[in-house]
Amino acid sequence: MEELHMLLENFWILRDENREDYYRIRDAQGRIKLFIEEKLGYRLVINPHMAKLEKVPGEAEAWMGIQDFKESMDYAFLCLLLAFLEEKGPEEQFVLSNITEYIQATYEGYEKVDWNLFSHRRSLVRVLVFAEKIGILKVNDGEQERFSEDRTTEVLYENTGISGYFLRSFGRELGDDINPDILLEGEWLTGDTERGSFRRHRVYRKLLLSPAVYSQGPDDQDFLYIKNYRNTIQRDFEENLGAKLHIHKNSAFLIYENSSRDKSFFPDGSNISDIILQIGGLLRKKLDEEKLHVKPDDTIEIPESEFHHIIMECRELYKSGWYKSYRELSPDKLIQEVMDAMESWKMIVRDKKLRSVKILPMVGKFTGEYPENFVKGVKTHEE
Amino acid sequence: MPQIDRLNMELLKPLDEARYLTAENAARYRVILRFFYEQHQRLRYWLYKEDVFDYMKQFAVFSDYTIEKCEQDLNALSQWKNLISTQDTTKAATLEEFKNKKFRYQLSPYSIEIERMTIRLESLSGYGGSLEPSLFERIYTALLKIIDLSSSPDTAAIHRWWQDLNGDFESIYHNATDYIASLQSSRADELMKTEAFIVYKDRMIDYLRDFIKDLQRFSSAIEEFLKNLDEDVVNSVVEKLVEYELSVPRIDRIPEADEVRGEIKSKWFNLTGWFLGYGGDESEAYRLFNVTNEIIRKITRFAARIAESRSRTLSRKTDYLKLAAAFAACKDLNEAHRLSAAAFGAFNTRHLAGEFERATESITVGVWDEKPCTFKLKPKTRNYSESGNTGAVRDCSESKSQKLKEYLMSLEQEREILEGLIFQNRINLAKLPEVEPFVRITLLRWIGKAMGSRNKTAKTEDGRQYRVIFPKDHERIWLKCTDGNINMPAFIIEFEDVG
Repeated sequence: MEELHMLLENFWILRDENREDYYRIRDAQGRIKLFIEEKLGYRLVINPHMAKLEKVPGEAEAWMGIQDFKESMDYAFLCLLLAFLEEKGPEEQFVLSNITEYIQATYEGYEKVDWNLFSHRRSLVRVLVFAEKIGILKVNDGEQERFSEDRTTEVLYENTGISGYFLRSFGRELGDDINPDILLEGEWLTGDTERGSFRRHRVYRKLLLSPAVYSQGPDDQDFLYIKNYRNTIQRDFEENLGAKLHIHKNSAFLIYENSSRDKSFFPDGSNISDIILQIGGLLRKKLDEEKLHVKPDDTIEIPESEFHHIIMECRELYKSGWYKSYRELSPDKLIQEVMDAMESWKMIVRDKKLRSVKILPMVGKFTGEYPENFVKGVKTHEE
Repeated sequence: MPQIDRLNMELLKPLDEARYLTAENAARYRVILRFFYEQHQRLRYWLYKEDVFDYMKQFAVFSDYTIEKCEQDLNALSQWKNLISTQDTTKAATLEEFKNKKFRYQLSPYSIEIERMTIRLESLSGYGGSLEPSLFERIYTALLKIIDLSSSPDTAAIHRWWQDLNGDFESIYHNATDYIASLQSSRADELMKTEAFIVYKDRMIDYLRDFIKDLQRFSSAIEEFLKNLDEDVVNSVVEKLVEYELSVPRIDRIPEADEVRGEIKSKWFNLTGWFLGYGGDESEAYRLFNVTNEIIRKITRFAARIAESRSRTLSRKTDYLKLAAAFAACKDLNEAHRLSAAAFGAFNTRHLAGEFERATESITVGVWDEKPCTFKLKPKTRNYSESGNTGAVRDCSESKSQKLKEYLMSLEQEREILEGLIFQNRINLAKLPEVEPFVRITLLRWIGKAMGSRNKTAKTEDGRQYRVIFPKDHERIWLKCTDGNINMPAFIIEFEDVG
C-alpha cells in the first residue's frame, strides 16, 4: 500500500537519491503489480536507475502538468533540453551556452527565441531548475538562477543519463499531429481493443488520479461502469490504497485517508483550503434559504458576479481568521485566486462567454467552521 | 665462409623515439622527458603543458622559455611518439577547468624504456609488467630477517639478502606502476568501452582486488615493522654490506667506503620511503592503493554503461523535438499542461482526503441532499491560541518544548566543549586531555568525513571548513576517553580561518 503511494506521489523514485524507497518498491513489485497492470493497465518501470509508474491520465487535466511552469514555452524548452541530453552520454559535461545555442537553433514556435528577452531567460531558468530537481541533470559549478538576470552567466552541467526515461513510452513513433487526445488514444488502441479492459483502465485511472469523476449525462458509459462495478472498484481501492469510494447521483470521489505524505489533497489546512471550505458552508446556507437552486445534474449555475459576491461575503464573515496576506489581498486578486484554485480542483467551471459559474457537486461535500470560542472571541472583540 | 644471417627487417627502420636525445633542442627535450619519467614513477601519468612549463621555468638555463615554446616542444615530442597526447576526458570540477580542457600528455612505452636506459647509462645503474601480489609478501618476509642478519657474521648471505630485497622492490616499483599506467592509458579507456571487455571485466577486477588486499595487508605490516625498526639494526646491516662490497676484488677501481655506504643508504631510504612516505608525503604504497581502487571503480562504471547501452531503447530525440513543436504551438498554459499530462503522465494524484463520512451508501442521492462533512478550521491569526482546549493537550506540548529546550541546551554545551579543544584553529589529537565519549565520536566522524575527500577536507555540522592533517612521522597516540582509550594516528584537525 505504502509503496503504491510512493509511486503515485512521485514522478519517479531515483535509486541514487532514495535508495530505501527504491528497494522497498522493487521488493514490493510482486504484490502491487496485479492491481497496476490488471486494473489500471499501467506499466511499472523498474530499472537500475529508478522505479517509475507512468501515471497516464484517464483524461488529461490542467493540474496534472508541471506546476512550476508558467508558459507553454517552458514545456517546449524542456523538450528541447531532453532532446539535447539524448545526444550526451551519462556523466558527460557541458555548459549552459551549449544548451542555449541548441535551443535557439532548434526551437520552432511563433516567435524566435531571443536570450536578450528577460521572459525567455526566465522561462529557461524555470526549466533548468525543474530539470535539476527532477534529476535529469546535475549542476557541477555555477548558479543557473543568475541566467535570468545576466545572459552571459555560465553554468557547468553533467548529464545524469536518465532523460530518456522522462517521456512515457507510446509503443510507437509520434506523428506530426500531436494533441492530448491523440497521445491518449494510443492507450486505448494498443493491446486488446475489447471494451471491457480499456474502459476498466480508463475508469480506474480517472478515479485514481482525479479529485472527482462527474457524469457527463445519462449515457456516460464510464460513469455507468463505476456505478455497476462499484463493489469491485471500492474493494480494489480500499485494499491497495486504503481509499474509500463515494458515489452520488452524478459524481464519484475517491477519498484518501488524510496523509501528509501526499503532494496534493483537499482540505489540507492551508488558508485557501479554509476559504473554499467556508464558501462551501455559505453555499449551503443560501440553498437552505432558497436563494440558490440545485439543478437536476447536481450542479448550481450562477452569474459570475454573484459568485464574486459570495467570495466577498465570505471575506467579510471570516477574514479575522485568515492570514494577514489573505486579509489584505485586493478583492480582484482574492476572487482570482479562489476561483483558480476551485477550478483546478474540479469544484467549479467557468463559462467565459455567458459569464457564468457552474458549481460542481464536490463543493457540496464539505463546509468549514472555526472553533466556537474563536467565533465568540471575535464577536466580543468586535463589540 | 661467413654465415649469411637473415637480416632483421626491424633494423632498417629509424628509431624516431630516440631522436630527442640528439635533436637540436635535445637539452630541453631531455629535461622534459626526464620530468615526465619522474612523474610517471610517482604514478602521475598525465601532465598538462602548464605543468611542464612551470617545471622548466624554475631552471635558470630556461629563463627565456615561453608557454608557446613549451607547446612546440610537446608537439615535437608527440610527433616522435615520445609522448601520447589525448584530449582530457576526466570530469571538470569548475567551469574554468572545463573551458581550459586541452591536451594532456603521457609518456609512451618506448620513452619509458629509453629514459630507463639513459638513467642506467648515467649511473651505469617493460611496459606491460604485471602486478605480482606475492611480491609484497616476499618483501615483508625479507625485511623480517633483517634483525637476525644484523648479528650474523655471514656478510655474503647478507649481500644476497640485500640483492633479493632490492630485486623484489624494483619489480614492484617498475611492474606495478607500468601495469597501472597501461590500465590508465587512453587505449585502455577505449578498450573498456567495447563489449568484448565485459568478458574480461570480472577477471580483471578479481585480479586487482587480490592485489589491493595483498597490498593492504602487507604494506601496513611493512609500515609498522619499519617504523619500529631499531636504527642500530639498520646501521649494523649497512656496515656489513659495506664491508662485503669492499671485500669483493675489483679490477677497475676500489670504491670509497663512504661512497658505498651512501649508495646503500639511499637505496634503503627509497625502499622505506615507498612504504612510509618521503618527508611527510603520502607513501607510494598508499597512492598505489588509491590508484588501483580508482581503476576498479572505473572498470565497474564502464561495464555498467555497456550493459545499459545494450538494453537501452532507441533514441527519443525525434519524439522530443516533435513534442517541443507541439508545446510551442499551444494556445495557453492550460492547454500545455494537458498536453504534458498526456505525454509525461501526472506527477502526483489529487484527492479529497480526510474524515468524509456518509450516512448513506445510496448512489442516486445528490451531493447537496446529503449532510456535508464539516471540518474544524484553525484560525490563522497569531493572537488565537487553543487555550480553550483541554489541559491534557497543553501539558503534553509543554513537556515537549521542555524536552526540546533541554536537547538544544545539551547541544550547545557539547559545542562549547568542542570549541574549547581548538587551539590556534587546530585540534591536535596528541595534545587532548581525557575527553568525553561524544567528543571522540564527533572527532572520529569529522576525520572519517574528511578522509572521503581528495584533499582531506570537509565541513562540520555547523558549516565550518576543516582539513585533517596526517602526522608527519606516522606518530600514533592513545586518545584517552572516559569510557576507554583508542589508539590512532596523531591527527590534527585544522579549521579554516574564518576571521
